[in-house]
Amino acid sequence: MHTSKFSIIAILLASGIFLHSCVDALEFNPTEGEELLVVDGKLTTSGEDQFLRLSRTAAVGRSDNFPPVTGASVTLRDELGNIVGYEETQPGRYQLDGSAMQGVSGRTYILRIETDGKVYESKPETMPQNIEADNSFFVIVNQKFVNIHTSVQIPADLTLGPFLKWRIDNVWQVNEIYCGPFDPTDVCYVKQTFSNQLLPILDGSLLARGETARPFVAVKEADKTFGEVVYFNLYMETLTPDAFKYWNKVSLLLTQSGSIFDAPPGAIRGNVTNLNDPNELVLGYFYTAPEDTTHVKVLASDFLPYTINPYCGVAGFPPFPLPTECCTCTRLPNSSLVKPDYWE
Amino acid sequence: MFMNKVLLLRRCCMILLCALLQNVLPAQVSDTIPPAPDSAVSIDDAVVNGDYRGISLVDLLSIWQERFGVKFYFDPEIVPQYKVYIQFKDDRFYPALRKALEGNNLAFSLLSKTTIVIAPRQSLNKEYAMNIAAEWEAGRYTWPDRNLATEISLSFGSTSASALSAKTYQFRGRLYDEQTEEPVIGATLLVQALERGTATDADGRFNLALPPGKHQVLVQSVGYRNLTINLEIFKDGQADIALAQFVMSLDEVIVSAKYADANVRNTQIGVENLSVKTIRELPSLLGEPDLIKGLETLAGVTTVGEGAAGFNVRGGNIDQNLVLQDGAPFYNTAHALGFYSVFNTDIISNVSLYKGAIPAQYGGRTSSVLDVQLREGNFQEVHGSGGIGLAYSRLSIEGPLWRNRISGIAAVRASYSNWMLKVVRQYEIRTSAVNFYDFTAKLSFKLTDRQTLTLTGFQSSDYFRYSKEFGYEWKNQNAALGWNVIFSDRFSSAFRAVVGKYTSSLFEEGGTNASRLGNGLTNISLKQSVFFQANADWEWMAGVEATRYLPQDERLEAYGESSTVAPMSLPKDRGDEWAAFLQTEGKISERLFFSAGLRYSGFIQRGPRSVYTYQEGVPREVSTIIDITEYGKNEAIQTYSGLEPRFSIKWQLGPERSIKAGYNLMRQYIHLISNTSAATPVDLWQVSNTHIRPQLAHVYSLGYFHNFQKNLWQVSAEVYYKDLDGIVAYKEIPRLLINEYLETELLSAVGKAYGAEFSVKKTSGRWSGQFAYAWSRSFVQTRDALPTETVNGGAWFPSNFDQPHQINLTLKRQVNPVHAFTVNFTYRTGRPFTTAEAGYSVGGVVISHYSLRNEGRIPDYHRLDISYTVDKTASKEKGYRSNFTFSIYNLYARSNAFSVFYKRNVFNQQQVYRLAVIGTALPAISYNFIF
Repeated sequence: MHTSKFSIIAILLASGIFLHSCVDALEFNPTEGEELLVVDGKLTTSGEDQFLRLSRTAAVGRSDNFPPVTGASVTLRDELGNIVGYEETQPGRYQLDGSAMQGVSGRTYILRIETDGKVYESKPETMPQNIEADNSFFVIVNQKFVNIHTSVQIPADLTLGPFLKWRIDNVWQVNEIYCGPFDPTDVCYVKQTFSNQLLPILDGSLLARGETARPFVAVKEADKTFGEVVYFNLYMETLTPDAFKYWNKVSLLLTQSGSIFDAPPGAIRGNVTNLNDPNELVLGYFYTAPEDTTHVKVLASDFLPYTINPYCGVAGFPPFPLPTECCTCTRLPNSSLVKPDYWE
Repeated sequence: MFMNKVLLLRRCCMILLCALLQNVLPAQVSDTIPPAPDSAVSIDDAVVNGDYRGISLVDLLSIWQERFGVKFYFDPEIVPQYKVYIQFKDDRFYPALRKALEGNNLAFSLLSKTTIVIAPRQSLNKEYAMNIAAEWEAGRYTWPDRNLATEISLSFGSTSASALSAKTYQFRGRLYDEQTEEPVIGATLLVQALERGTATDADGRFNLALPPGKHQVLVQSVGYRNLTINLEIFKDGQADIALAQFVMSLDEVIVSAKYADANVRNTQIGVENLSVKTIRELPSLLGEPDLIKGLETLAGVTTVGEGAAGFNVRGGNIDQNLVLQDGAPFYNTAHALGFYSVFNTDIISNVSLYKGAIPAQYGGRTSSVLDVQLREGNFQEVHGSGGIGLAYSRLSIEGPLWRNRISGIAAVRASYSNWMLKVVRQYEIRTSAVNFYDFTAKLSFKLTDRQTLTLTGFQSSDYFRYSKEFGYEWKNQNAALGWNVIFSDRFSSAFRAVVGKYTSSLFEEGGTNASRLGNGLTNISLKQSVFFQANADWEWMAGVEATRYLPQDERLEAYGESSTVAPMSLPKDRGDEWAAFLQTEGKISERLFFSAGLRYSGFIQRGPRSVYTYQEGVPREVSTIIDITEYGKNEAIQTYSGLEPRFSIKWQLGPERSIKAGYNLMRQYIHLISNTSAATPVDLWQVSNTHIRPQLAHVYSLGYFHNFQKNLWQVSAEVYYKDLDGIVAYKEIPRLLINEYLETELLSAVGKAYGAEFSVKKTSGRWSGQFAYAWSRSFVQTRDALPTETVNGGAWFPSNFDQPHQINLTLKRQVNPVHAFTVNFTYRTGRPFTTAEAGYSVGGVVISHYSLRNEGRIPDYHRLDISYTVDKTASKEKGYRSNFTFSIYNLYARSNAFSVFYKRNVFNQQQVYRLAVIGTALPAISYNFIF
């Protein structure tokens, strides 16, 4: 990770000193490789339905339609001999009924995939003990960004770790404006997933035992979605050391800038192998992780006055042109009129 | 330090002797003065021939006045004392004179055929000419003090039968600077009638065997007036002789002591000497000259990119270069990311780069040795120099602390580049910081006539901070004590003690993660060498050395009150390296010369340490540890040792041609754990241990060297092959810092490098310069790793430093003695780069899949720089003098890739992008001064 930091310094300071830097696209003939199997799935303790994606790699230069692997037979078994099957609900998307098998800390699980006449299995993964987040909070930076942190107490008796990974989404509130006597002014709750974020992970091994760590997890630009109320939902997963090692490598790859101070990237071998051909490179990872959820509420009033313009304008001053969603907020993608249960 | 210099100079002695024996003398003024024309020949018919180098225009006029029977009139204040570099071939007198005056804005007018008035072109008219002539006739104008040869007479013994019966007598002595009393090294003493000569060593000493009788000994040295000694020798005699300096610039004073034909005469292959003058004349980034950037103009010396620390020699990693300054090693030579280096060119005396044959007194690295020698302070007067640039300024001062006994020199450089960051709009850059300074001091003591003591100290500090988030700091400190004793003219000794410390840290500011991660290395070394010259053709050197490596613990500390980082300290391996060496150099026949060395080196890893034993046949991981062995303090854990033969041979094909071949075996016991193309400051220096074997390199080289026109043109072609073992390679995306089980992230690899280098150099004249081309390849193979851990399936793959083609062209046009124009063009193949062959989605993020390491290449690097120098330091002998250099770096604004990375484009496809940090032409001006 430190080499990526050095790259950042090198690029930005050099750009500053020499007052000119530029980025342009290069024509490059990528190496055409075979399409590799990618396994992307997990088992949590949430009791909710679990999903597994099976796909194949897509050559560089092609669009992001990673070919789904359809028609595979996928099962999950635990150390007690329980075996449950996944059902393919969309091409390449396999669903495990949350009530059929719920993750239990201390129990070991193995994923098995049969496709194209080949049999793949994941290395046995033992569900770690759950680490609970105390709470999550936000910090407004320069009225332009909202940084999200989590408070986690590092267990005093833990010798290694904890190894933590976060998944984040947020829900923002849209208040429709008055658009006519026959159009009720509804309130929508719009869900957003964080895309293009760096992977938030933390190796707690270097943190003081018994102390509370407050790692930075995510940042969001203070835009119109903060005009009313926003909730950030943080799903904190406790990983095994092996799973953390995998996600740490993914994280390092994401932070690479390709400079002379970056380590050469390489293939990230996951924990799934072809039982008939152990040398086949299978990408992705199947992991088991207890999950703990916290919510952070951010109000428009948390910002200085007039710094945030609500999506549909302030009372009596609708934006021009008026977005149609301000009359029918359900037109916004992923919006719902149902207030989430954690909403206060 | 001393012995290195001694060896170099001794070798120069041999070179000179060989030159004399074969009637090849370096081009000198005295040799090129055309004979006086026959008295019957009129000036109209007089012909000028010859190569006038290194004398002033005034001297030239004086010579011609004498030889051609003409009389020159001029204003002594106007005709410069600068040296001229002119060749004449069958030129008539008047055109030759015009040629000599051109470029100085001077012209001449004839009062008669042999009475010539010289004056500035614009003011030359009849009235002016008459006035000048009148001034001369009235005695108000006289010839300036001329830099012509002077004469002295020495007599030893008297003529007698017994005196004449001896075959030879020894004429010994020492040459020293008349003003500073510093030894004049590399000066030649020639008895032309006998075709016999010698050269002074590092202490200015000489020893010349002559038959009894009267001899005329011509003493010559760059920067000094020629001296003729009328010698009568009828018994052994000794004399200390002072040489008077020419008027010259500081640059020329500190030029490397090297013979013009050293490339052909030197027995060692692959040795480069770079003059500080050359470095300063190169166009440079922000106008700041830099030693490492100068080295990169040599064939076979490259860098992986702009801002990379260190340099790569013949495809090797930077940790394979032993970098010494007055004998003290550097473990990080970078200032400001790597855009500059720690070397202060103001106080450098000699720079030698051994990239092929490495003498046995050097060891511990497998690629090259860069030996930088610092100047001694002036023993007579206080002088100083300095410079002001856009990024940093420098100042050095030197002088006697006890006249003729103790001298000191101190130099400091400090950056102020933050102002450049402050003008940038981007908040992160505006709030960032980049600072560095370095300080060098050297004290020289003349204990006795035959004993000298030097004490060199160095300290540097670098600080980078990115906004208010994180940053790097590193420091170099070292001190070297040198004690040189001359027991006799043939036997001398050099002792050196060095203490050095390198520390670095990475810090994060603010928040609960605020921390400081630090590491470092302390080294203590002792070296004792003795030198013995058996006879004029044979010399020996022997010695022992020992180095203790004491790496500091890797430390993680909480930074600030809100930090929740747990402090921890991870001890690192320590050890002792030792060696004994014997080096000899001699002549087998008139054409065959050799240099042979044998070094026996060893390394002991010492406790305290917990050593882990891993299960065989499975990947080395924490889970595969099967045993732990505890070792106490200083307890020997692992020992490595072995012979390191070194051999060079030279076949002298002719006066200006030679073929050389060499073989080296070298061992390296300390490794830079760095998985990036360019090292970062916090990369660990790791000594060999139970799991990390020493590196071993077999180096074979062959070269052809040919000079033309009395060394004016120098051409060389070299080929080499390197076979390496024990190279540290890395598993995919390893964790290298704060890792108690570091060996679980490492692989042992073998390597090979081969290539050819071609160089053409024109050493002087109005046009001078160098063209260098290198073709080199460098590969690595992880053949012993388990199938799942090999890189590229265990096949050979290009190393991070594999850059097949390298071209450097430097041209200098000396417009006149004051104005010079320099052009530098650099081209090299893009460095290897691991290309993505596919993309995939996992965990909600899209990442690239890389399978074959270093399969692709970033775009080729090329750049054109120019500089224009107005140098008035030679305009007068003393007082404040200065020069300006105006330069443009990257003249045609090439956007060379600093980094290449993958990013989604507007079509949501993975696309390769290039970031250039210097995507424009960068003008700069620097001001330098001496006093």
